[in-house]
Amino acid sequence: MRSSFFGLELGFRGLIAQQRAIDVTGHNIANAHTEGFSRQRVNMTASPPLGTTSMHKIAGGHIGTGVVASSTTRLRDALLDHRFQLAQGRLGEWEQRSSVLHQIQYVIDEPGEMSIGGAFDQFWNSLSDVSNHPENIAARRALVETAAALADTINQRHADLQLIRKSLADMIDVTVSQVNATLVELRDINVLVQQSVAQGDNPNDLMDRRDLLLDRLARLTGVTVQHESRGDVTVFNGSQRILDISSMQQITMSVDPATGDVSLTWAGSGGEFVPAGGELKGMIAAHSEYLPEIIGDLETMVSSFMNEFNTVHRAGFGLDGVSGRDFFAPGTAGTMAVAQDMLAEPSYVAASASGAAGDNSGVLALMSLRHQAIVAGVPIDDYYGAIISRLGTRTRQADGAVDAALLIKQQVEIRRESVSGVSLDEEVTHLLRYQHAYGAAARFITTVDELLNTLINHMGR
Amino acid sequence: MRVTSGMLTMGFTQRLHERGKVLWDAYDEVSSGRKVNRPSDDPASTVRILQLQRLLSEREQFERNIAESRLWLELTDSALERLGDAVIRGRELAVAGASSTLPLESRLALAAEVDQLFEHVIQVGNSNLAERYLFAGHNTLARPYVITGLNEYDFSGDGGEVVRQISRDTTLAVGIDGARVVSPVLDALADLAAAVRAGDSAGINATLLPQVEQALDELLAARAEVGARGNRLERSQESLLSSKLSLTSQLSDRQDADFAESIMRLRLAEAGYQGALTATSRVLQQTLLDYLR
Repeated sequence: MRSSFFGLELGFRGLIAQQRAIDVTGHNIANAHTEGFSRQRVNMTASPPLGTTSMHKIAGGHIGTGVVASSTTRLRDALLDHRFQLAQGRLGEWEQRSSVLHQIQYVIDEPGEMSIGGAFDQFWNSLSDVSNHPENIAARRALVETAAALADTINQRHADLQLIRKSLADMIDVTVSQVNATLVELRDINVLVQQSVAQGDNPNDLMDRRDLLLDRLARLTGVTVQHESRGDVTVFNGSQRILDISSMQQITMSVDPATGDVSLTWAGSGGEFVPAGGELKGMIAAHSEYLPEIIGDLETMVSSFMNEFNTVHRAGFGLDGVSGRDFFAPGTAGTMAVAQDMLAEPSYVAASASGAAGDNSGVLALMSLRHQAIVAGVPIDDYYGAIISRLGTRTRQADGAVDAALLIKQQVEIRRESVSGVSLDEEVTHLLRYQHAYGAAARFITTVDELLNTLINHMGR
Repeated sequence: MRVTSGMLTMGFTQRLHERGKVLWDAYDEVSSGRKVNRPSDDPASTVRILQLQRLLSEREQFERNIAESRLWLELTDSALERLGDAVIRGRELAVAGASSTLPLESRLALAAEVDQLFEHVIQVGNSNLAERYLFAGHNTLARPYVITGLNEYDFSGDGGEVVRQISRDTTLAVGIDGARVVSPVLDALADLAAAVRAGDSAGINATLLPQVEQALDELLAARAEVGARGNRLERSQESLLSSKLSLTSQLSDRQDADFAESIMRLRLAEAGYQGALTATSRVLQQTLLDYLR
């Protein structure tokens, strides 16, 4: 037998359920543009029906008892999250690679006239001018000047590249700090989420925050995420565990003061940390591959050139009939310089092969070095051309990879938005819906009230 | 697929960025006038451009070297011409001195003229281009011919070949050794003066006239050589010019943007960008709230 006030409770349940739904709709609308927010939905279930066997069998089966807003869940696709994190990792890595390569291209400045290639051209030409006037001091002085200018250009580019490397090391430091800070925050939230889930709750907003941190971590260092059944997550760098419910790692970065080399290690074990992807991977690749390679290539080119040039120069004679002098002081790219005595006394330039002033065969021999295989088995122009070609190709490839990664990230982002994003039109529609239901429930309560009124006040008088 | 306003804004932002990138690239090309502004724009072209730039620069230098060489050759040639005139005069004097019927005064007068001719040839032998002596071989800074007495001289040239680089694999000798063309003339003149003073008309006929002829032959041969080298330089210069034209045009092909094409691309990019903006503005403005009540 049903209680007299049964209807009131039923109406009341309807009222608060719709109210809860309106609250959630309001929450969605308020967070329409919150980063990382997933829209939430109230799950309404019919409350447990009345219906036990008794002597008075109730016709029609169980009696419904109304509704309960049993849970609020967020709409999120974990698979899309996983794909997004992969895309972010890839994008972050290639954006960093591309950025540094473009900086290198800017320093190298080819094709251009004020570049290393241009300075070499002027040097070879002024050498040829000396061959036309081997006795002439002015031509020799011009040669020494262009050689000094060549050294300046090379040294400047070398220094600029080293500077890029140094700034990159600083950026790596900052990024590592960001990673560490994110991991700390992640650990705390991870624990909170797991505790809440253990109590049977849906900590939707906490989970949104956690996902946002995971996205950030993926961009920074290319992590992958495993969702545990307890509600917590385990974060991996490749196959290494970086964070779980009971432990968290930190990363240490150190710079070798002599070489400028950067090394990343696990703070706990001291072992090497190799980022699986993300900005850190890109920055490390640029720092330990791209920059040392091009700097090393320039150094090889310059020191081979200087050594060969000096060797031939030593065999020749200056205007004073003295032989055995070096044209360049010892050094390489970064420390390249014309020998002090050449700078002070251009007549020492060994243009002659015999000591006679009008003999230019010494200079002709120096000029012929340009087309001989003096750097790693190829002529210097070819070697330099190969450096530029490698740089250009690499940069172009990196740009292509960035475009591809960006495209994928954007596609996944849009799909994620499609699943989890708030549609204001939709929420407004829901508002109407729940508002009507609320109004109807209120009307129902009024009706029940009138029934009770009739029962209590107007029956049996 | 569910479409949210967030998706719309995302999509629009992405499209605007894409269109903006196209606009930027088009602008880059128009404002720089270059198709290749950095190696990554076109790595293969960049390498070719660098090669062409090197080749052009080399050729410009060779042009300078050729101009220098022509100067040297021209001066040498004019010196040889004056030398030729002197030898011809010397031959006339020798023929006159070969006559056995010359009185003493005439002989002395003749010998004095030979002395004068000797000094003149010394001067020609010391021809120089801005104090670099043409006939001194590699000892260009010192006067090769120094008078040490009446019809006596010292020669300090070393016979070294003066060469200039006129192309990547070619050097050209631009000088003539004084010992080959000037010294024989001086020797002949010295001998002639002595013979005339001694009245040795038989000796003049027998050995001096042939000696002078030989000097003249050598001179003519040297002039022919100089002429041939001059022609060669001229041909090299022409070939350099046409090579430069070809290289310059290739370089421009690779490097320079076709202005008309670039402007057109810029216009298209602008239109594309505006299209994206228009589409965005039309769709973003409508919501359900506009239509309720």
